Amino acid sequence: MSRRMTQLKLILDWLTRRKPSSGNGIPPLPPPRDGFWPRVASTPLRDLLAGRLSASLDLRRVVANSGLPEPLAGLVYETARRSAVREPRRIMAAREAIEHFQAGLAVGPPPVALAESYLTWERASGPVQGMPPVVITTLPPEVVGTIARVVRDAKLWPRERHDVSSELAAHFCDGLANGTSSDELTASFGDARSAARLIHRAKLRSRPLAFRALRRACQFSAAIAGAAVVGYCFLAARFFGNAPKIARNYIADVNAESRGLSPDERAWPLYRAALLKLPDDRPTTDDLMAGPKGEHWPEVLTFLNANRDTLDIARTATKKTHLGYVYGDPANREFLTRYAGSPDVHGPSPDRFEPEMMSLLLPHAQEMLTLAAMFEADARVAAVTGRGTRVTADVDALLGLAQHVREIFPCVVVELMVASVHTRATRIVFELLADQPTEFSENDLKQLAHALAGYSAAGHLRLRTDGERMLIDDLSQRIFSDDGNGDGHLTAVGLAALRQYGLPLPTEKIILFGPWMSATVAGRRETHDLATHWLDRFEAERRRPLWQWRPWSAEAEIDAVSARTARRLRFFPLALVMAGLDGAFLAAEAGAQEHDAVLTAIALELHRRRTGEWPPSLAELTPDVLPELPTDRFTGEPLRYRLMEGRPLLYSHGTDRDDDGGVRPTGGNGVARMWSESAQLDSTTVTTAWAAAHDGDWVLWPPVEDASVPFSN
Amino acid sequence: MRVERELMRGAGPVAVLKLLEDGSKYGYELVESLSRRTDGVLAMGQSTLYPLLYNLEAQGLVRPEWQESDSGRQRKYYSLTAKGKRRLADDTKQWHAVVRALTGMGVLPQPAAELSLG
Repeated sequence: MSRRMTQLKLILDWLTRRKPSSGNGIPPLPPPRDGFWPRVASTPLRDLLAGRLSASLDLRRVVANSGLPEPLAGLVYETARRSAVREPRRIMAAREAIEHFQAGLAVGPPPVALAESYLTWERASGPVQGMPPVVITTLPPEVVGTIARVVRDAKLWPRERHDVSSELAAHFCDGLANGTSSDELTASFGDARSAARLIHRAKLRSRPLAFRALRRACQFSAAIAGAAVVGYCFLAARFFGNAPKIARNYIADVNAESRGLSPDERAWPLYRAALLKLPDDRPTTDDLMAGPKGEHWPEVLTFLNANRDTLDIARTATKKTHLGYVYGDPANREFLTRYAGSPDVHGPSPDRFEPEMMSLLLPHAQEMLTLAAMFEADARVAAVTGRGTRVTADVDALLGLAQHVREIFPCVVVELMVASVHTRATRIVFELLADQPTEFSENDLKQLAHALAGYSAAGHLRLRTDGERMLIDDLSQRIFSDDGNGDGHLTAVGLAALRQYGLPLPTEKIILFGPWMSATVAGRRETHDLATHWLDRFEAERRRPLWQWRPWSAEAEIDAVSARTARRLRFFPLALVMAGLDGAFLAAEAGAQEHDAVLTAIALELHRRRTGEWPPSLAELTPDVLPELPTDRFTGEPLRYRLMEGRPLLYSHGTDRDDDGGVRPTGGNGVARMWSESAQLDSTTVTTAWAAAHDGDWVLWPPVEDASVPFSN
Repeated sequence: MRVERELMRGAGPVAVLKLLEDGSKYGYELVESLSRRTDGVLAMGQSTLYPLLYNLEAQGLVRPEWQESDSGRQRKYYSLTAKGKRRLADDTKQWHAVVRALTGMGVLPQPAAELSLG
């Protein structure tokens, strides 16, 4: 409470206790305290040091020395004594009041009337400081009260208050002098509250520009703060008052196809049995894929020999028509306990999956890649030991396993795993055809060709983004509310659920910023519609082969979303899903190119065995051993073929799209298989160094030992 | 007869400026003059007059000055500034135009009414 308010409260307390309508209720001024020590106590240090016992801080003495008559002396003493200020200021206030009353007495009214007017003023407007004596000395109490209310309600500065009250008092004095009664004057004054408001506005206009600017700024800030509070309350009610409603179990949708299979069609039980038979202490996937030149190849050989029956179980599995993995199948509990750390990562049953799909773990996919590495290693062992038929069986198993991996989850990212398995199969054939072609019988070669040709999609990306759509819709139903018409907004429960993705969202931040985020993040329908729009265009545009590649038309929009923080936040569910789509497409195109090339290499070997020499051109192979000429994925023209020193060379034009005679670029074979769009190649921004590094062809067969660079733009 | 507040809002300032054209006046004198010279039509109480005067002062149209009256009391006298005189001239022209227009429309009787403050 401010000092002034404390002062006013004390005065009002005193007034209500003393019935101040007459001066008689005011206690008289008590006599000054005499005696040495009281004088010392009320003398300022400055006077004491000067050797004077002035007692100038003795309030009673100051008032008594003023000569004010009662009840004014008592009034001044009581008012000053009760004010909540230190002694020097109390004395100063008393002196001001004394001067005030002395000026009032000089005008003529008796002390009692003066005290009554003073108290009327005090009741209406607070402390008397700054008020001209004329107001409280010459006007009837009711008029004083009217003036007091006006200047109080007008919220004026002290100087303005003095000025306005003086002017209004002068007006009333003129009216009284003109013979008008105080009642008439008060009645003709008008509405005091309205007058106060108008005077307040008028006086504001007269105040300094800096004050008005500051006041405007404060008002603006207050308005902003008020709007923010109102907005927060509205958004908070929406944000905290609604909860997501999980209406659809998308995992059950994924399971539906697998659950409809007969036991004979399902490969997963066999894969699972094989994986459960594998020892924990086994070579890593890298060791298995490293081949005979690998550091740990002896351990790999021991491992393969010890687990021959396991591999046979897995090989049997690869012959099945479908994978048939059922998420939540209790039969997987042992497998999940061992490979995912918990039996419940896929829920307690096929119909119940609690976590959202975005956090769905795929331990079975990971372990199927382990089996793929085992088949790859086994094929290399078989090649070394001269068993081409087993190589063929392993390649066949890899292709079958690749088909099964594809059924793990219908999303483009899983296609990257499929491409990885498929690439292993083709590279084994490439290597063995180049290094040990005699290990393959003609029958082996035919079986290999049939297996590769029968591989559905043949490395082409399955351009169905059902999984991505499911991921977005499942995430949406877990973070957004549901208005029943496909729309909704971000909720507190949904935002808290995002913590599992590592988002720093402590509870206090959710409370403070969550409602604002709910207004920023796109709603459920907008998110769904935009995802559908982008994925539809992706599917449509990526059905074209690589040589007709154009930048994904949605890419600019996605880039625009990624470039700005506000847009990223608005569509953050999409950012979790959309990344890597084009990367998967390019990987699949690389797989398709190698797939075509390996079939061509088999056909060349078959032709050589039949005729005793390599064909002068690929046209010689069709249609007897090759149904059609393979296409260069970079140009759309036939794959390039030539004989160098009596050996065949199969190559693609590669990154730079021109024929360099099968010479690899200085940057290596991997550089030549990197995709760059035509516009980029034609661009003047391409440096001489870049062009030189990419000047060359992508040699497909015989394989070259270059670093494998991902197929990307 | 009392005029509507909106009309008074337009007429009040020009009436006060007109009264001050003759020389400086204090509040009570203005109230009395307005009431007397407009037959009470533009009469206004203190609650209206003083805010109006403070507004005119804020706009720099009038200049206040405390002076001692014959009775010995202090009074605040208002006088027109140069800007106030220009504003009065402009406002007078506009009011004449309004009067002519209203006369032309038959709202005011012929001959054209003249402002009675001058």
